Amino acid sequence: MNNKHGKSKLVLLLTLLALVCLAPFAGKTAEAAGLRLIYSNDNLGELDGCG
Amino acid sequence: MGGLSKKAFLIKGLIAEPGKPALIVNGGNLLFKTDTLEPNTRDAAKIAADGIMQATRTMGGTMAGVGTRDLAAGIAFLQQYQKPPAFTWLSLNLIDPVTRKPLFTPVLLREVGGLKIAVLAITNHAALQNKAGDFQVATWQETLPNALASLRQTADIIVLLSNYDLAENQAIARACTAIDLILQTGHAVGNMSPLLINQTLIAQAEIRGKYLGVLDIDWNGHGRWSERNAPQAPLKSEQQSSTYANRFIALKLSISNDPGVEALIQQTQQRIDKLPKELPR
Repeated sequence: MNNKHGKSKLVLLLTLLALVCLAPFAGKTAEAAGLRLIYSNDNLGELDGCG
Repeated sequence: MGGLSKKAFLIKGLIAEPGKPALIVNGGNLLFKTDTLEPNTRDAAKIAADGIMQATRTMGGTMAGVGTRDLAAGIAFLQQYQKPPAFTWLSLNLIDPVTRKPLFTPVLLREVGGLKIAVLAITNHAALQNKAGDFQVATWQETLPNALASLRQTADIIVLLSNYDLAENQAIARACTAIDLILQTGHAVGNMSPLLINQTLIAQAEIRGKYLGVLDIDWNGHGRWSERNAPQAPLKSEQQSSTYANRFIALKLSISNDPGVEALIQQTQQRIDKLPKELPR
């Protein structure tokens, strides 16, 4: 009887611990995907244009 | 020498950064200074264009939108550089007058860093002169909405390379809300940091290869954009928005040259120098 009671207390404790650990992530979505777009336009036939 | 070889040096560094899957995009108006070529400079301009194509491919460029000035030497000249998947010229609205089919690739799908990116290009119909009659051009209103209808289901991000000016691009952004980003290539002077119209960013780098644009995106799905490190505090509802950080890098003389592209440019210049000089009148 005592053993059963002890087990359920342990399960409750572990559940609480898991909730505490997961709390900071609540409300956040999956990580955003990163992309780097390297762009240029209107080179207009330049071989050696400089900024 | 500089320009393209400095651009190649910069791009190598930008794509080598870990955790930054990159896509290189040439908006358009890559090859020629003018809409038509004068007889006395035609050969030199075509050799320069050939050198630019080689350099662009060497630095990792695989696509460009067809701007009106890219057609200065004719459709056939540009089509010889249409070599997908190595290099793809894009235009949704340049049409073969006989077959009524697009003369260039209308849409390109690329997967980068797990994201499916659709790149479309549209050529400014109002600015085109077609003396040879070898193409027809439709308006963006006739072509864009249909092309976008199916893309929203297949692509994560939709990028439009637009040869129109800012006013027209703002109209496109208002009418076609599926577009996430418009890269403008209407040969307007100056860098233009991303401008948000509804759910679409419009950006443009300075003309004549003087600057390179770098847009770092954290993509959270189609919808709202917010600028990373913007001064205003983010709202709760913006937690789902995609964020961006844009910068323009000047191709200064102090930047190193990429030796491979530098050699290509020198060879191109030598080819131009060997052309017979015009006789004085």
